[in-house]
Amino acid sequence: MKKIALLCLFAMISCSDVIYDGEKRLVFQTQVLDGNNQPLKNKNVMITIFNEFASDEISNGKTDKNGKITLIFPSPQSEFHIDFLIENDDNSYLNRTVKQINSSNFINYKFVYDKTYLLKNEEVAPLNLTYDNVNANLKIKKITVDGIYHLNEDFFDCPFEYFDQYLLPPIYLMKKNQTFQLKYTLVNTTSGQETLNTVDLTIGEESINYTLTY
Amino acid sequence: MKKLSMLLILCCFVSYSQTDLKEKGEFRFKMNFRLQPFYPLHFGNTALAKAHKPRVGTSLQFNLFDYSQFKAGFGFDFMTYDITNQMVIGNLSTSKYTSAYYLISYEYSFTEKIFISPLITYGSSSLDLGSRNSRFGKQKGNEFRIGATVDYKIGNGVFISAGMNYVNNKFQIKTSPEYIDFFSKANQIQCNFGIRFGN
Repeated sequence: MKKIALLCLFAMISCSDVIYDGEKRLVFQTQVLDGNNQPLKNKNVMITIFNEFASDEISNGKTDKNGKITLIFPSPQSEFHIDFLIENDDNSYLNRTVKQINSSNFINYKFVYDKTYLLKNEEVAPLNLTYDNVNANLKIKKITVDGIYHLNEDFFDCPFEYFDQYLLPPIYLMKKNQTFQLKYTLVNTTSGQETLNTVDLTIGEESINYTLTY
Repeated sequence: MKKLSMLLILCCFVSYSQTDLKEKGEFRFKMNFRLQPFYPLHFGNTALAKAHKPRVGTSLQFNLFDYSQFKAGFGFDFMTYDITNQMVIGNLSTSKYTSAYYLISYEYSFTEKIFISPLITYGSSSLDLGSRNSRFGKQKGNEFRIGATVDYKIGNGVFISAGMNYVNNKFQIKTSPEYIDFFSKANQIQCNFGIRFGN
């Protein structure tokens, strides 16, 4: 009985591990910058890998003098996604985590997250988005912002539908005094046609409101 | 461990029993074996050179056949590395290297007691990531070596030896193109000291 219990325990532990392929290596690169586009050195970047059953802190390291970091780690055998976190060691910046980077986002075993901004609380103002759906055939597929911003939970590759169903839509905290682009992809649910829309917006010292009408 | 001890005893027995049969130009079964701790010095822009620190490894070599001064056999290498740069390997502490290879050597008698044996080997190798946890998988490859060993006879069929080998590895890897050479190649100079049983 004791042996069976041990066997079951062993089987459970085995199932709850991320199993890697020793002959495949993934490469992750980013550059960590402050709100003034200046590189932040010695920032600890940590990567957690997830599969269906388990997670594993597979890699971490510090940014160089140019704020750049390359992390290389074994690839899981099955489908996965990764989160990366920039540790807020002195609490001077807002916590930054980018979630849900899927295996399909690694092109040729490499994923580059071009620029990761660490912003201070006093540097940001919210972009308040409201959604006005006037055409029942249209749905938002994805929203992105091309500018300097902070998201408390930045879901990299997450369809907007997911937010509709399970989470509140993201609230972008924009760096003050900048012009940025709001990009949103609409999909026609009957024809399947997708259209990318771009809006130029400017934020000053205060928060701004914008209504997406579709 | 018990099996390994039995194998060592068997090797000693066979090699001693064949000592008197030596005749030049005759192909025959004739066993000797070496036990050689070694230390590798890796070089080049490779993962083993830049992100690992080797511990002392162990090499076991068995010569089985003898023709004139040529000997042929097989060998095994075992070694553990400490991972020194986790940014390029992952959050692992150690890797384990093993190899199994065929070998050919030529024994040149320098004096009555000193013998020099150049050797060449080829075989397969494996790098186990996170040697204490098999879930990180293996990186398989091939190994080629060229080197020489000097043996000094200290008794009947017993020698102490020292040698040096150049070992080249090619491992299987799938990764971003700029890192393929980094993870697929390895070059090392192995310095070894050990003992040989059998003539």
